[in-house]
Amino acid sequence: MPVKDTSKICEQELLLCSAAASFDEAACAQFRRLAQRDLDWKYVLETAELHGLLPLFRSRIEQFFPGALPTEISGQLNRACLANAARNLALTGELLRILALLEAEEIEAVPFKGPALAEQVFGSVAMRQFCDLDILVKPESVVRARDLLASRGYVPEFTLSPAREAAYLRSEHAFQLRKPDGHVVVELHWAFGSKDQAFPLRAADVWRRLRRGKLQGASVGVFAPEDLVFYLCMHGAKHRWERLEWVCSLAEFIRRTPDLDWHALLEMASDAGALRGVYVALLLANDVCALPLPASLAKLAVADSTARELAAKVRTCLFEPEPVHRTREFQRHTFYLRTRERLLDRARIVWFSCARIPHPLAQDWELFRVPPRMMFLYYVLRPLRIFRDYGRRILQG
Amino acid sequence: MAVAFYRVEIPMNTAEKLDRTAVWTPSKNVVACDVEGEMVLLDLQSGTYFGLNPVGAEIWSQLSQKKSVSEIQQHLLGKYRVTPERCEAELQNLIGQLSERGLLRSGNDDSTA
Amino acid sequence: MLNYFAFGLSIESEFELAANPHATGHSPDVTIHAGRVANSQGKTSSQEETVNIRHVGKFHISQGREIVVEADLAANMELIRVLLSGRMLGYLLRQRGWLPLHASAIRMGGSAVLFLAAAGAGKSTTAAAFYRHGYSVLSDDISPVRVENGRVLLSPGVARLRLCPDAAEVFRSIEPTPKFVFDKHNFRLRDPHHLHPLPVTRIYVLEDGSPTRVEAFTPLDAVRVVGKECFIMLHRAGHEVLSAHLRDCVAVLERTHVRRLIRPRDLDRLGHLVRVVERDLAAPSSI
Repeated sequence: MPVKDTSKICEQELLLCSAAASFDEAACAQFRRLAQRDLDWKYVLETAELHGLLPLFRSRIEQFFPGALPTEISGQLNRACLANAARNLALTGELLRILALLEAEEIEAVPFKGPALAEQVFGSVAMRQFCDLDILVKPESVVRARDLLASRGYVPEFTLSPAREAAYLRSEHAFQLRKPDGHVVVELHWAFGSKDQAFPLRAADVWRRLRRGKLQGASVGVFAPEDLVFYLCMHGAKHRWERLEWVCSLAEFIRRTPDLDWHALLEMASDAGALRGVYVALLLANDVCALPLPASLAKLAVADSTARELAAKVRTCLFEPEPVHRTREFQRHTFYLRTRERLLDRARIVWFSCARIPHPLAQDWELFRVPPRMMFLYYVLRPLRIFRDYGRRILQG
Repeated sequence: MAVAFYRVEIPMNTAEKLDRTAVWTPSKNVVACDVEGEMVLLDLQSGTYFGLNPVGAEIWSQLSQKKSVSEIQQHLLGKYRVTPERCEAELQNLIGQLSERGLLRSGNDDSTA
Repeated sequence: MLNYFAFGLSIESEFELAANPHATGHSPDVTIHAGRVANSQGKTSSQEETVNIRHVGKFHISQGREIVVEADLAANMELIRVLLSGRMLGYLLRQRGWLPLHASAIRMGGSAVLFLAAAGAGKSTTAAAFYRHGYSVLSDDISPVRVENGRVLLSPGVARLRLCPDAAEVFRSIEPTPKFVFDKHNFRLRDPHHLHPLPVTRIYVLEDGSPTRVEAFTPLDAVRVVGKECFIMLHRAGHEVLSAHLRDCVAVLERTHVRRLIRPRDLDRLGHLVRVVERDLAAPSSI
């Protein structure tokens, strides 16, 4: 009796194949070869969904091998993609309304990630899977923007006293609001990461280099291409490149932007001490999505052995089952740390994770409380405890 | 938000003639996206979804580029094997249906409503 | 008024300090006096610090020039003296741009070697062991360092050691005037007083374990461990203060060698400890 192959290697290869940003003869042939096999299609669809890859996968099937899927699977895929498109359209409509609302109040706002990225990169908001609407506003207008959204029926995640709100604005990077029916989540950002993440791209720089673009025919602000690439590189690093779609969006955007100013990008990354983060991203885009890189750039990236090691690690872990939350957070954290070259940045990331102001959703604001998502950093908290004991010991004498 | 999904069929009978130089553009209350060659439209006011087949999708994208009726007709004639009469009839029919549902507005009308 | 000299500063104080007496002269760099202290408001700033210690009193340290003490009626004056000579001076040194490491320091050749640890972990005992082997003690509890012209410099403090009773017992034979202070024995050493800053060659972080050995630190671990032993109330420091603190830590740690010094807490093994450190210092250093 033949042994059933449970390793899913072919299924994973097919997904990797559909993630490519460009296809040559050999790649097409391989795609067809893989799609012809007796695959575990349920696994393919589930994994594609997990990696935000359903629309792209469907697109590749239609492009290279229509009719490859069993009817039932094909029906499932089409329904899922249509449902995704329908959802995304509704979200896009809501986003445009919010943008109009903000504009009417003269609050500058830039949509990023979500529908804006899908349309910018793939030409259709249906091509990515997303659930939140991310909007960048200036720090000085974020409170006004939030109140405006609240007046439109959005419920802020929490309410804070003015003093705590000021502290939150200093240390955090976004407010989350949701519609009571739970279908729309808006994140109002004024920065790209909390202080503890020391995110290397500063919102002020993005504002300075902002351009105009279109979303559904409406004029909207868009990141300068170099800013967007840098953002995508470091956003991926922050989340340990757990979704294939992130690599695909990056690769596809680079492919579509032949006049990208690599020099400016590298300079920006180098100034921010995050050159390694860019190298890791480019190595992944090259490896996973077959994105051709300029020779000089490829040489630089390959020369960084840590970058190579990190990219290889991502590649081997792509299809591993999702670890439990704490392990995952820890892995993400250490990965992100290693994408930063400067000791000061790394120290800052570790340091502020322990000294940061607890997130307001933590049960209370007691000084030494560890926010649940920081539990893995417990050892960093030891200093505070020792320090406290130090005081107590003196007093007991 | 209602999720009605139905296809706009393009019937053969010709409605009243439209001005061939007129420009029709998508209403600001519509968002659209391409799903494998077909176009999905969402009317933000009613919350209704519409689907357009690949030819309909082609016409929609031409309308989005502010092309006039006759320009679109020329474009379609260059791309599909169809008689000018039938092409014009179908084009006018689709524009009629779309505008009736408030998905298109006359290009001269720049109001945001 | 009493006059002292420590860490390169002349100090005029209404309270007795564990520091070297100093002749009255020009206007002092620092004054310590009694007064009213308002309750602390929010975060530590770079130039203002208020510390409230229950059953002891309130301390206000400002501009690196002044410490105001509002002692509780029932306060143990000895404890106030320990706090003023230690922690409060640490906060003041930070305000003056030093990174006050929670470390003892000894002199080896022309430079300083630091032993850093949390309170009660054996800093002073370790320094005492080196003292017995002929090295000078540069500082006991606080070792303020900063980067100047690319080098890490230590400003020497007070030639004295505060030792736990059991450690004091061991050293008693060689020390002339032990005086029991608060929870530890205070020893004034016969060392020549060091006035000028010295370059720092090594920072050893003391850890318990066996056998006695020296191990490397990853730079990030070094920042994590050293950064907390710097007389800074992490939970009270705002983002700007923490940022500056971190910058100072990294600047110092990037320019000096930080090692783990693992040793058993065995007073009989102190001689061995000295030899292990001497050997490590003689070996060509590498980071």
